[in-house]
Amino acid sequence: MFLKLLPGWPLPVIAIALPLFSAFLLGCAILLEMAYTAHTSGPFERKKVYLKVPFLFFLFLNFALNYLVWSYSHNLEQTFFTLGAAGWAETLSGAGGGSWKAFLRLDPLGAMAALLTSFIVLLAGLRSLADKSDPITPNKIFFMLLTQGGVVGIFYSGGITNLFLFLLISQIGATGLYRPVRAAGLKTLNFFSQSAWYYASRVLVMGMYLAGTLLLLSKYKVSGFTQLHAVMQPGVLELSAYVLMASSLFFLFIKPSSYITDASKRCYFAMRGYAMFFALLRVNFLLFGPMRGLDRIPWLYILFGGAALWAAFALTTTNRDPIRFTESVELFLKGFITISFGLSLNGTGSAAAAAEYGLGALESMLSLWMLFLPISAALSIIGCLLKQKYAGSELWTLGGLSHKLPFTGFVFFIVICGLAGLPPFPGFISRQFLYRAANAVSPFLTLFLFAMSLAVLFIGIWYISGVLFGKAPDAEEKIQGDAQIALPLFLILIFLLFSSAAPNHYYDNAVSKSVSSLMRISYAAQDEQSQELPDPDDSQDVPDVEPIPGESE
Amino acid sequence: MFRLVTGYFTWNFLVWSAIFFFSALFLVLVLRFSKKQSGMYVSNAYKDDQETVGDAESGRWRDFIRNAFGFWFSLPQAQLLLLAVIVLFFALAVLSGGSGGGNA
Repeated sequence: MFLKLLPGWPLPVIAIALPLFSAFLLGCAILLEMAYTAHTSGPFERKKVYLKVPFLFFLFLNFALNYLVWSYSHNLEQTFFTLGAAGWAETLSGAGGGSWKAFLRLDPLGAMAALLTSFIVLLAGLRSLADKSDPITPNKIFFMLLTQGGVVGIFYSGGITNLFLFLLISQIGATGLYRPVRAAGLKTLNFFSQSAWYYASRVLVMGMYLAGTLLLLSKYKVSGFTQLHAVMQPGVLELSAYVLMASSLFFLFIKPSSYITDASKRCYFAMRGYAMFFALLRVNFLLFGPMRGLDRIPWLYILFGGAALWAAFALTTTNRDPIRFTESVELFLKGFITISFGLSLNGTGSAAAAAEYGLGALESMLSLWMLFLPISAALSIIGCLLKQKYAGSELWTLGGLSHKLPFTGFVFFIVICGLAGLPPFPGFISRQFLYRAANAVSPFLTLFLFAMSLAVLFIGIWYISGVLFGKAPDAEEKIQGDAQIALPLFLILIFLLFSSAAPNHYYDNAVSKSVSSLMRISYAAQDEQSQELPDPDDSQDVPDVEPIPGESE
Repeated sequence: MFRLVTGYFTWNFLVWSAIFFFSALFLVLVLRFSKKQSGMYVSNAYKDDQETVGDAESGRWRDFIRNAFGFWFSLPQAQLLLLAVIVLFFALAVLSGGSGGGNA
């Protein structure tokens, strides 16, 4: 009953429909405006408040909706929503999802991801509304809404066809936000050539995922993740489908974003990468599981993660541009997430491995993944601010900004500490789990990860020192930076400080529920119903912590 | 004594001491870096032609790394190459004949 605020419409459906319907309305308005302009051959006069106020209302409503869904799913294992002739129906088994039927899945992992995404959407929206250098336009809001709708849909997708649909929607939104811009002096032919490369790469990736989906659909005629897994047998067709689907999703996760100095757009690109990793989780844990023939895949992810860390290390030491620095640091975090993903896949294949290190690896992977979005958003907001011009130069070239941007500098410092896994920030606990899991596989891997964490820390300090310390620039004109980005940074700071000050709440409410959800998926995928699940709480103590004498549970 | 139970971790005195020690070390490093780094970007952005021999050496090294890894940022042709590499590795790992038996 709680989920049915609108007649027959469950809340997750409304959470997906809200941004898409808003985008539809705005699209109609844009078309009307274009028609009016063409008809009268004069500019259309529109007050900004008519654009900003509804968008602000949408941001808060969207966050509230996703919060409601998360609070409902909090104590839930999983539930499914299927659209039939009688409207939406809630089922526990997910049966009835045909090949192309609307079929949604709600579990704590997806709901948590959607909540975090709506939080970042709120921040990006607030930043966008306050941005004077790149003012908000109807087109920008339209593509933002489209991306948001697609991303939330990915989190609630129950099958491979629904997932493709939402991937496509989010891709259209992200492409609209990027839109290759012709550089000054670039010849028309060269510009079209560059644009063609961009569109070709995106079409190819979407086509690869679609090809994998069609391969499975043509043989099994069902699209639900769990139904497909129940009937799927290892074979060349299935493994080929895995290659097409997993490689396209992994590419969309690991690839760098376009060079854009608009903070809100960068937040949306990060959000999309975040959603791609979620889709990768769905495909690996829920759809294919530990299928015969995929036994080398965990090592492949570890290899890719290691390569990403090396590349990020090389790039951060050679790029001082704040946007490039942000991108390189994101790659660092993606590398850690990918390695913990490989360890998680490797460690959840059997109950023994799960008890030894699999659960820890899962906790590490999910907590790093949840940290990725706020950290990426904070770095994007700060990086784009540092690209702004001041007295003819970009801010980051001046040095001594801690005098002019004290709050920004403080948040920058906290973010780098969290990223590097310094205690007591949430990244620290994630790293402890990661080192522990890596040590169970290879001590050299632990050493490598530890060295890379230290490298992030030192490179971060090196960068912050160069930007923030030193002689302050002459204050001929006032720098408005702190005031522009204070609100979104403050909200991110609250998130980071809360998760640092109350790690038990953060892990219990956000991470552990999602880990339990993934573990159930993983074990259900093995069709070993009789197998006893290891308790995720078993992995929540670290080995170097001594038990309290005389105190028992 | 000297223990803090957060509900998730139990920190003992040794751990806290280590944290304070490393935090202090970290702050000292920040101060040290701050003295070395301040104004560095200004000098590099506008005085590249006044590099000393040592700067030229590190500049060559930076150029080498930038050339070697810079493809990462050159959109979008390099992204197609990256996609091809990822697909190739996945295909090799999955389709080149498995040992069977699921994950390790």
